[in-house]
Amino acid sequence: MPGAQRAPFDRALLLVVPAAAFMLLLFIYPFLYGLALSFNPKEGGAMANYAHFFTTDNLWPTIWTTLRLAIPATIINVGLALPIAFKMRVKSRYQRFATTLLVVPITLGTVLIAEGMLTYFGPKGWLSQFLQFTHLYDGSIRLTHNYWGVLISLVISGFPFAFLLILSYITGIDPVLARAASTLGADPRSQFRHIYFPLLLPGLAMCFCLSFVQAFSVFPSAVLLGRRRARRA
Amino acid sequence: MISIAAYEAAFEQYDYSLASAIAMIMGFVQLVIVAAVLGLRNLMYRGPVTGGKG
Repeated sequence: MPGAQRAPFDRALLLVVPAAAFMLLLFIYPFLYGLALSFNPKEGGAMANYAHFFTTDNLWPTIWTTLRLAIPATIINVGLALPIAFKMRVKSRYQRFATTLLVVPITLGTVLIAEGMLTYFGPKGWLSQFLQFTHLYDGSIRLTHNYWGVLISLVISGFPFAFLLILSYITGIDPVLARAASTLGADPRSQFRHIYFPLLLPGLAMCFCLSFVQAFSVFPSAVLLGRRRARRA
Repeated sequence: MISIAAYEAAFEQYDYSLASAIAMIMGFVQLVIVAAVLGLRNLMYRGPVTGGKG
């Protein structure tokens, strides 16, 4: 191209424009708009909304109820995904099957999971009917419309996400390192503790962050499974 | 859940201003946790996870 050398502007950069405009329009602008809006309350000074939030008894404790849900859910997700991903790191015959099975929930939306859980875990659902039929547990179980319902749905929807992230991290670790350790007499447990785990920790931290953010801001399962008639879950 | 609180403020009390304040607080709490975890991450090993010859 004759003009390409003279032009200091690389036209390939234009490819960034749609993505940048998308971010600007759909993320940065709404964020700034919301930020400005939050300082323009219906009545009172600029900080009136924040003052209202931290002085109203049914508003500020929602921070703790949400943290009380999101942090255990994240720890369960990451803690469960780690050993399973560790087992799945080597190629085996059933690896593809098991990975597919574990990833299926990610294709279901949170709403679908919540609806399914309402019929499965509900007071007249399969689970409680089965438990009562086999007399394993005769008391009434309450797993929907409370803390446990939301926690279970967060684990179902968040687990595949954590699993896939950890799997990609763990398969990136060179198995030669573990093999070298085994020539020095390290058993599988100390291979994990001294080689895989330290190398994996940064990835685990990343995975924890992403899972946490996902769990913290989840809305559909909280409404469908958590909310009681009178008070807020 | 804090997301429900924001929803109720916005669509049941029609106080968008309060709802966006709640959303900002929500984002701030997330940011604090993520920053804490990433801060811990910096204390750990970072570098290649491949073996190489040596």
